[in-house]
Amino acid sequence: MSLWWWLGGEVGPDAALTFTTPGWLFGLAAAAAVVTLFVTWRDARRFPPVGVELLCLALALSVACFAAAGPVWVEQAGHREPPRTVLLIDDSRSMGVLEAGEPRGARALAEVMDRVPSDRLEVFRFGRELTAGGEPSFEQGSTDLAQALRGVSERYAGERLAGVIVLTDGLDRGGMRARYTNEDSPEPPRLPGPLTVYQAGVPGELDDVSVVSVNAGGFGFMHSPFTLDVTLAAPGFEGRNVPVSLTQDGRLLAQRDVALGQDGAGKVNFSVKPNKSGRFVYEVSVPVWEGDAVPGNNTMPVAVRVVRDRLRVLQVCGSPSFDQKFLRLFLKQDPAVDLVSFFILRTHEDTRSSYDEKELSLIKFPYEQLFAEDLASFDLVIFQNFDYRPYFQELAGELLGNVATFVKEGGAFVMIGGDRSFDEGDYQGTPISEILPVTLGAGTPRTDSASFQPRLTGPGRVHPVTRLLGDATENEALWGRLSALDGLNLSAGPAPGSAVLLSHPTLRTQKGEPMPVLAVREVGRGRTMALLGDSTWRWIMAEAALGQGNQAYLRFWKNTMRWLVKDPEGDRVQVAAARENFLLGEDVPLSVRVRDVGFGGVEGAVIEGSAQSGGEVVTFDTVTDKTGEALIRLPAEHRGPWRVKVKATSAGGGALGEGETVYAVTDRDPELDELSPDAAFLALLAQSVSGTHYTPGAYGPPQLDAEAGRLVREARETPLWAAPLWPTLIGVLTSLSWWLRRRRGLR
Amino acid sequence: MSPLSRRAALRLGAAAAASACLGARDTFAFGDASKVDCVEINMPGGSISRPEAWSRLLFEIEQTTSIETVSRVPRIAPEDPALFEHPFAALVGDGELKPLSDAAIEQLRRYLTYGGFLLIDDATGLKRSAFDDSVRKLIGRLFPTRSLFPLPSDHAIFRSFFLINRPVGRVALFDHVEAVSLGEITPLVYFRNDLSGALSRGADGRGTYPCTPGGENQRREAVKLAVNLVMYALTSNYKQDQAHVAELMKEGRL
Repeated sequence: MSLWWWLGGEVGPDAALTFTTPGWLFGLAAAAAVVTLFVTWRDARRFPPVGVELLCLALALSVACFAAAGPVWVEQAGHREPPRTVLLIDDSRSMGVLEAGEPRGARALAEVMDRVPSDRLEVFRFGRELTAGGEPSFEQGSTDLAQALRGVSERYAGERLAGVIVLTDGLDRGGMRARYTNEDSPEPPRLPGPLTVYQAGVPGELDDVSVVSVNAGGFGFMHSPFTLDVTLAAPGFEGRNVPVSLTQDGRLLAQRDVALGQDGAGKVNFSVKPNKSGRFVYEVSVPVWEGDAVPGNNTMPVAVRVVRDRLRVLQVCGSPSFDQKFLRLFLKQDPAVDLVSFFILRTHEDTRSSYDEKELSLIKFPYEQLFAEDLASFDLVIFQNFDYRPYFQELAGELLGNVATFVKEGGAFVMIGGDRSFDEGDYQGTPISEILPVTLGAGTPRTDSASFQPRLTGPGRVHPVTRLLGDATENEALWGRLSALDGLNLSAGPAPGSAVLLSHPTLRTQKGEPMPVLAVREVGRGRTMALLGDSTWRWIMAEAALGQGNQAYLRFWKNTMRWLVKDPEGDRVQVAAARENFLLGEDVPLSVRVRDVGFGGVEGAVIEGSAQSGGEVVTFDTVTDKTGEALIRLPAEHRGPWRVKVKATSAGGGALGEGETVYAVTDRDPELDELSPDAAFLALLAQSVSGTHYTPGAYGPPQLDAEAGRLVREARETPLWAAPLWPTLIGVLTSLSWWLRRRRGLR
Repeated sequence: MSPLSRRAALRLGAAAAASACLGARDTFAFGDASKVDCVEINMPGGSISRPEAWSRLLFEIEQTTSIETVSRVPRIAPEDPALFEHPFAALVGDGELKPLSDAAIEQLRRYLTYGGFLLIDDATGLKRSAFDDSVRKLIGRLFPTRSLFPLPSDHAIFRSFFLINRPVGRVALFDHVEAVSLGEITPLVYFRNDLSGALSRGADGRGTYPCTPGGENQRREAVKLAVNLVMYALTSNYKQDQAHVAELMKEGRL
C-alpha cells in the first residue's frame, strides 16, 4: 500500500489545491466542530488533566473540517497543435465573369491552390455571408469582404493562424472598399494571422460596356428641367464613341454620343423638362457590342416622380368685376396656386377724366413678355372677359397662336364670358377659336342678358368638373338650386370633340342644340374650358345668404383646376406601385384607391386593370375594401417599363374613374454593375495589415506565420476529500481521545 | 419686337376706338345684373342715405376705369338676403346706430366673410360722436376677435388705381383710415372724414357740401380715394402683387 493510496491517487508538484465545498456549508461544519469541542471541554474540566484528550479531539475535528471543505488537487497540462491556414474564396457573380473563356475566379483559384499549404487548410466561400467548405459556384449576389474577415476572426478567436488567404477581384459591396477608397486612414480589420490577397481578374482582358449609374435625384418639378447624370464604364472599349439613348416609357427622348476616356470611363447628362406630373420610368441604355461580357448591365432604368411645385396660373381680366374678384380670391387663397394676375384697369375709352398719369398706380400690361416669353412657365391661362385687340394689335396672330400652341403642348386654357369674351372679343377666326370647346360665330345677337338657371347635361352628370356632390341625384339637385346666372355669351354650338356640361334651359343654337353654358375639350396634350357667363360669383353669395357657405363654388373651381391640369392628386381613382424598380421574379405590390367626389373612400368598387409592357399584358380584377382601397400583387416576370391602367366602377356598374402608373422591372444584376478588378483597394488592404497583395501573373507564396499554432490545455484533478487518509486519522484521534477520557473515569 | 409704351398703346387704342374698323363695343351686352353697383345699408338709428354720392362715384368709375357700373343704389336692411347680390356696400351715418339683432349681425358677418365689402362712412365731421361709438360697438360684435386698426400707407387701398397720399373727404380731421382685415383681405373700412359728403353733388353738378379746408382740390382727392375703395373691393390685394410693386418702384412712383 503506497503513500499515493492514502491520498486517493498520484499527485504532482506543479498543481494547485482548490476547495469545492460551498463556503456556507464549510462554515456550518466548522461551527459544529467548535461546539463539540466546547461541550467536551466543559464536561471534562472537572477531572483534570484534560489537555491531551482535548488535543486529540481537536485534531480529529480539524481533519474532518478539512475533508468537508472538498479539497481537490488540480494539475495543469497541455500541448501545442500545428497551425491552420484559412483560404477565403470570393464566390460572387463578378468572379464568374469569363476571361479568356474561363471564369476569372476558377482560373485564379487553380493557381492559388498550387501555392497554399494543403496541410490543415480550411476553405471558406463568401459573398454576402461566410460559408465553410464546398466548391465555389460564383453565383452569390453580393460581396462583403469585411463580414467574411470578421467571421474568420470570430471563428478562430484565441488561435494564431498560419495565414489568412483571400482570393477576390476586390469588387466589394459591403462597405470596406468604400472606406479604403474614401478615408485617409481606414481602420484595418483584426485578423488572426498574416494576410495574403490573391487578386482575381485581369484589367484589360474584359470587354464590357455598362451603364454604371444614373442619378436623377429621385424627383423633378413640372416645367422645370432636371438632369439625369449618367456614368459609363467600358473596359475594352477605351477611346471609342458609344451612343447613349434615353427613353421614357419606351419612347426615345434623346440620344448622345459619348467619347470614352483612356480608362474606358465616360459621362453624359440629359436634361429633361417634364410637362406632366406623376411617376415616369426613364431608361438609359447603350448598345450590346459583340463580345460584351455582361449585356445585362447595358441598360439602367430609373423612375422619377414628377411633382408640381405650385400650380402656375395666369389670370388676365379685361375689366374688374365681381366675377373676377371672387375667382381671384379663390385662386389667391389656395396655397397650391402661384397666381399671376393682370387686370386691365383702364382702356382707351376710360380717358375722359383729366387725371395725370403720375397720379395713377397703373403699370404697363406686359402682354408681349407674357404671351411670347413666359407662357410656357404657366400651367393654366385664364382669359376672363378679356379683349385682346387693343393690346395685341398686329401681334395678335402670333400671341394668340402661342396660346394655342401652349395648349396643344399640354397647357390648360379657360375663357370666361363677359362683354369682351368669345364673339364679343372678336376671337372668331383667331388661333384661340381653334382650341375653344365652342364654335364661335353665333351671329346676332352675340349675347343674351336674361337671367337663367343652367341645366346639367348628360356628360355634365358624370364629368369631374361638374360633380359637386358624390351622389348623382344630390348633385343634380344642387345644380338645380344654385343661383341663376345673369347673362350668356352665345355661340354656334359645341366644337368638334368637346363636351357640353351645362346648357341653357331654353336657348338653342342655330342647329337647334341647347346653347352651351359650360363646355370642355381636349386639344392635343392640353385641355380647355369655356364658361360662357360672368356671374358664377353668385354661387358664393347666394349660398352664403342661405347660410350654406361657398362649397359649391369652391368645389366647382377646384374640380375645374384639377381636370384642366390633369392633376393626378385630384384623380378619384389612383393606382400606385410600392416602389419604382423591381427585380425579375419579385412581387409587385400595387395599391388602388377609389374616392368619391368628396374624396371619401368608395367601398365595393370593382377594379379591372391591366399591366402592359411591349407585347406582354397581365390583367387583374379586385374589389375595394371599406376604406376604398385594394391591394394587388403582380409577378415581375418580364423586364421593361410596365404601365398599369385601372378602371373602377361602382357596384351598380357606374363609372368611377380611371388611373394609371408605371414601374420598371429589370434583370440588371447590381453585382455586375462593375467588373474591372479593383487592384488599388486590394493593395491598400494588404498594406494596412502588413500583408501581401499578388496580382494575376505574379502570384507568389502566401505569407505564413511559422510560429503560429494552438496550445491545447488539459487539467487532471485528484479529489483529496475522498482519500482514505482522512477517515483513518479521524478514527485514530477520536479513539485516543475516548480512551484517555475512560482512563480518568469519565464515560 | 419691343413692347409698345403705355402712352403709345393708349394713343393707338384711342385711334382705334375712333375708327370704324373696330366699331364701338356694346358695353351693355350682358345687361346690368352683374355690373358693379353700390348698396346702402339702412340701419335703425343714425344711418343716413346719400344715393347721389354713390351715383356720382359710380359715374366717376365708369368714366375713369374699365369697370362697368350701373347707377343703382338700393337701400336695404342688413338682415335682408338681397344684400348678397351687391358685394359693395356702404353705411353712412351721423347719429347713434341702434344695436342690430343677432341674426342681422350673423348675416352681415357672413356677407363680409364670404367676399362682401363694407365702407362705413362717418358723416359727422367730428372727432368724437355717438355714431363713432356705435360703429365701434357694431364692429366689436361683428368681429369679436379682430380689432380696427389704421391701414398702413402701403396698403393696396392707397394704390389700387390712384396713388393716394392722404385720405381726405369733406373734412380732413384724420390722416388715416381704419379697417378690419381677415387674413390678407380687408373687407371692412371705416372712414371718418365724410367721404360721401365730398362725393355728393346737386342737380347742378356742384358739390353739395363744401370741403374743408382744401376746397375742390380736397374733393378731387376724396373722389380718387373713393374710386380706389371700389377698385380695392374688386381686386383686393392685386396691387400688392410682386409684378406691380416692382414696376411702380422701378418707375419711381412708390
